[in-house]
Amino acid sequence: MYEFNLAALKGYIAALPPALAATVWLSLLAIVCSLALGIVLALMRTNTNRLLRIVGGTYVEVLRNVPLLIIIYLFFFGLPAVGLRLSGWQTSFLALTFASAAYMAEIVRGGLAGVGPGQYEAARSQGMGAFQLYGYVVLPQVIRIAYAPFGNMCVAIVLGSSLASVVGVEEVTTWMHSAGSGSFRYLEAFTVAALAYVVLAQAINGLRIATGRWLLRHRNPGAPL
Amino acid sequence: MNISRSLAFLSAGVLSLALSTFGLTQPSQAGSVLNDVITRGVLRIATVPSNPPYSSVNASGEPEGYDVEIGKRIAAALKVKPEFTMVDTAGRITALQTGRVDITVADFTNTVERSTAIAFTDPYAVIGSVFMVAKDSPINSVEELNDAKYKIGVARGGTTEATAQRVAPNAQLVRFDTVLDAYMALQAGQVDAHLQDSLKNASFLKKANGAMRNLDGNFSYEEIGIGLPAGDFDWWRVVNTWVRQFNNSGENARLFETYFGYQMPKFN
Amino acid sequence: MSDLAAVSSYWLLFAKGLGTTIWISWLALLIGSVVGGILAHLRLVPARPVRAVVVGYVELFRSIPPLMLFFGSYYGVSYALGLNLSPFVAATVALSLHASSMMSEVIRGGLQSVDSGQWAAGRASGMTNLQILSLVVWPQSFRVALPPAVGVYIATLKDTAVASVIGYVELTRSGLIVRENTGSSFLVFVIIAAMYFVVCYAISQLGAYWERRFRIVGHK
Repeated sequence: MYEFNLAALKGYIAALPPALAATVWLSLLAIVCSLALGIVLALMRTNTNRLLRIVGGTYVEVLRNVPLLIIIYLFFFGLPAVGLRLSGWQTSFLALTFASAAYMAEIVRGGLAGVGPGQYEAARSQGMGAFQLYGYVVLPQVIRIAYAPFGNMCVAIVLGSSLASVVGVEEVTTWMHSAGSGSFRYLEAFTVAALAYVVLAQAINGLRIATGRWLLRHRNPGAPL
Repeated sequence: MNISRSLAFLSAGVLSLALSTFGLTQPSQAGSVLNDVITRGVLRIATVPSNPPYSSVNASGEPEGYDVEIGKRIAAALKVKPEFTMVDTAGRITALQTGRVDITVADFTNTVERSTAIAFTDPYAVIGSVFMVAKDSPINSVEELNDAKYKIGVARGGTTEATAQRVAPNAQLVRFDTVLDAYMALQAGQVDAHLQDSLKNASFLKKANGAMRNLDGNFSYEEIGIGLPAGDFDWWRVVNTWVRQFNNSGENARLFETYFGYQMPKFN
Repeated sequence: MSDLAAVSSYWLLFAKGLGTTIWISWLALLIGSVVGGILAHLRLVPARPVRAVVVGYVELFRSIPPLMLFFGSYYGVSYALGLNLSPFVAATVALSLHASSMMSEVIRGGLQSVDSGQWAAGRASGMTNLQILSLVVWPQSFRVALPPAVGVYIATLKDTAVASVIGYVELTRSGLIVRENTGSSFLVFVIIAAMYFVVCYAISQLGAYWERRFRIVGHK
């Protein structure tokens, strides 16, 4: 029977924190940028202008139905053939951002849809400006509806960052390969790396649940959401 | 079939007969790979995809190449069927350690460090490591390459990774899952240089038709052998006999020329 | 374009790759649904440890990247248990584990959508739990669970692309093989992306159609 021996990884553990930091950094940037792009896309999809709706809709449909790995390969190996050469990190970041933005767009759109049309009229009739309308009326409701799927999307982005290893980005999965092949202890390296992802994902999950509790803190039982 | 080979096969047969008298359900243990292979009727061979002309996967999904052909011939010599398992660079070792395969034929360098975990036959090829750059690259020597602004593409977990770090420690190392990904990256301009096996390099250079060139210098001495699970002398004896005859009979040189397109440099 | 001619000659390999992709994703979904369904129902039992185990399983396989699952089932399992899984079996196991955790949540959502009043009414009428499940809960859950289930299938299909990394010859690996043999990167990946898009989009449209058909007016 195989003897599990974590101590064999001792020499490689020092390289884990930078790898974790790389994963977190890549994921965080992708989360922020894909959310921004997703908001733009959601606004395009709900706009009165038909062209904007079509462009936004096409983007979302295409990027939700193509695997992330293919987008990474396309950007890294394919784009140079048409003149655009980006590094492994850049292509992973862009691929992750573009792909996730499609999902963020749907999450934001779902949130916006939850705000009844009557609210816009009521706010305007009260004399609220656009800033007040969006800041006090729309945004809180969107956040309340969208925070949960948004949290799940953040987890998906962290997990998706593992594909960056295919184009040479030094993050947790790459660490696993190096530690495993250097020490010949693949199972231990795999366990540590898997644990790292589980911890990250569950931390985000915990944040999501805590956010949910905080948002509902003023609710009386039975009051409408 | 010459005498040595028939003797090898005869002794293999006698050995397997002797081993099989210990019971039909003998569990797999050290010292019985040969027995398992003969009983099973299948030789399980590990090789890597995406490493032409040593081994690659053709359009029908079948493995092909110099290493693949070697695997097939060993199976034929033992009168069993070959069965190929694709592994990655690091998997060449683990596949043997876990007993998943019986031999690994995959541009596999015999290092002392690796020999502590698995066994190697005598070499069937000897290579060096050579850097390849694009024809119009500004880099003209390894000293120039050894600069933080340049990227070297290598396959992860192989000897080229260690050699590149040793020879050009200042340059950035970009690790890919397969050799071909690294070469494709060079073609796409994603890395500035690609370090690889000198024999393979010569073959690629020919196919690239002038689009690529080499930097001067050969940076390693590596014996390419067939990997075997550790601790089984009889298995090693059989396979090594095959390798020795493969080399000395000229069969190796002929096979090499078929796959690499030029005459194999003498090494023994 | 000579590139296009060279790549097109491999159309059979592309077709075979697409076939294996659809086959393995369907298989994984099937296994994942069975396992996920069992898990979702196990969450209904009163015993705390059982529910905790189910939650642990689901959270574990939702927190590990598919890439790691593939590596784990192909290399890790053979290391730990000495079993030699072929890329096909390893890929199927990894995909099924991931799909089962997703399907467990989908089916759980379906079961929960049937409000507890129906359970009470069923018991009051003297039905056994099994009768309540099969006659009352499942037909209603099915309608609710179907659209997200389609989503899980599409996600599983996209995840098969990552199986290429352990050498399983599906659509992505077929594309990589063609790329090796023709040297054409951009065109090959565009074609592969288009193929995935067509299949996944078609399935999502089918799911949308089903959703409209099964929707009950007035019901959520």
